[in-house]
Amino acid sequence: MRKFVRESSLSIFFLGLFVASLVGQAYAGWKQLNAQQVADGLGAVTLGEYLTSADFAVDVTENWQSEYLQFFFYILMTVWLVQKGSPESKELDRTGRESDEDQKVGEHADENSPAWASAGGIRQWVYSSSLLLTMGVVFLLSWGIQSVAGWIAYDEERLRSLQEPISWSAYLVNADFWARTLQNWQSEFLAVGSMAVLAIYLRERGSPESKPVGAAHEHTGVEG
Amino acid sequence: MSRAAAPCLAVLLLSACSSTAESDAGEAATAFYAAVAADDGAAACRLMTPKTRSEVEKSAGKPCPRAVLEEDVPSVGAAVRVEVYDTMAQVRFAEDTAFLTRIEDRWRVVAVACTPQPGDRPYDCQVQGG
Repeated sequence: MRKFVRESSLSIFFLGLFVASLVGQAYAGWKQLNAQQVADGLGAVTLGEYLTSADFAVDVTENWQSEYLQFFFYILMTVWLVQKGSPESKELDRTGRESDEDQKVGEHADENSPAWASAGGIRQWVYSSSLLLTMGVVFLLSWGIQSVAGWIAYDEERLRSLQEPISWSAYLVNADFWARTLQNWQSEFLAVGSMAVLAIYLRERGSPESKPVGAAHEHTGVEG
Repeated sequence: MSRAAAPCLAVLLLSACSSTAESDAGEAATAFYAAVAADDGAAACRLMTPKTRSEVEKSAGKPCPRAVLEEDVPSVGAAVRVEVYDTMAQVRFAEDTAFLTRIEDRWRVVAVACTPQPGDRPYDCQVQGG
């Protein structure tokens, strides 16, 4: 058990942070909504009602979709695009999908390779893009749920203002949907872009996200 | 799929949308109009939100059960469309449109005797609270 915890400490740490943050968001969001309900002369909602509300769902999924989109693009674009001097980039002359030998697929798979790496056909194709496909599917699901939850929350707000509700298709071209979406996208793209550039010149000793402290700025694809 | 059912079905994917939310909201609105039509102001006031009751009393300078019967609330037939979005609902009749909110699992009238306005402007309601 102790060995498992030590060998999985990174994922356990972030899972714990995720759960703690989600619980905090749920509690703070519930209090915030009820403060607004009271100010509007409306009834307070229970925590259970808030957790199953469109308000909570849209606040959660608008952040999820942007995180998974960020990873989707990062995984995809780093196949072909490079950044000289960045440990986030592969070496400048290795752009593209690379050879079967480099990727240990098909006849080049060894005895420790995952079964689908040597399977050939559709299974090898799927496994060769399984990380990207998973990120893409989670992104699309989260964005889809955001669109539905955002629409319901938006129409709830419109009814509160005694305005006519709008349809889901109208919401998809509404400023509220795109403001929620783009405010998350811009921050993700800034973070990932600045990481690729800042890691050229800055270091964190011992972190695989950084080059070794003494590595030259122009060395690309070197992790510490 | 009716427009009324769409939000509820969509919400089922991500939240606990009661399958009876629309009928409950529709029944509450219908009961309000029926109470006014029967001159039962007390029953009508019990179906309003506290803020709407208070607004009606303030504007008429009378207790709610008397004040609400003096408002220009039309007689209505059956509800023709009910749309529920979480804690808010809109109930449409051929003769009027009502807005309701859910308070402690019961639907309460926020506004009635509402006339649509041009563009995206809010309805103009004779009886309205928060």
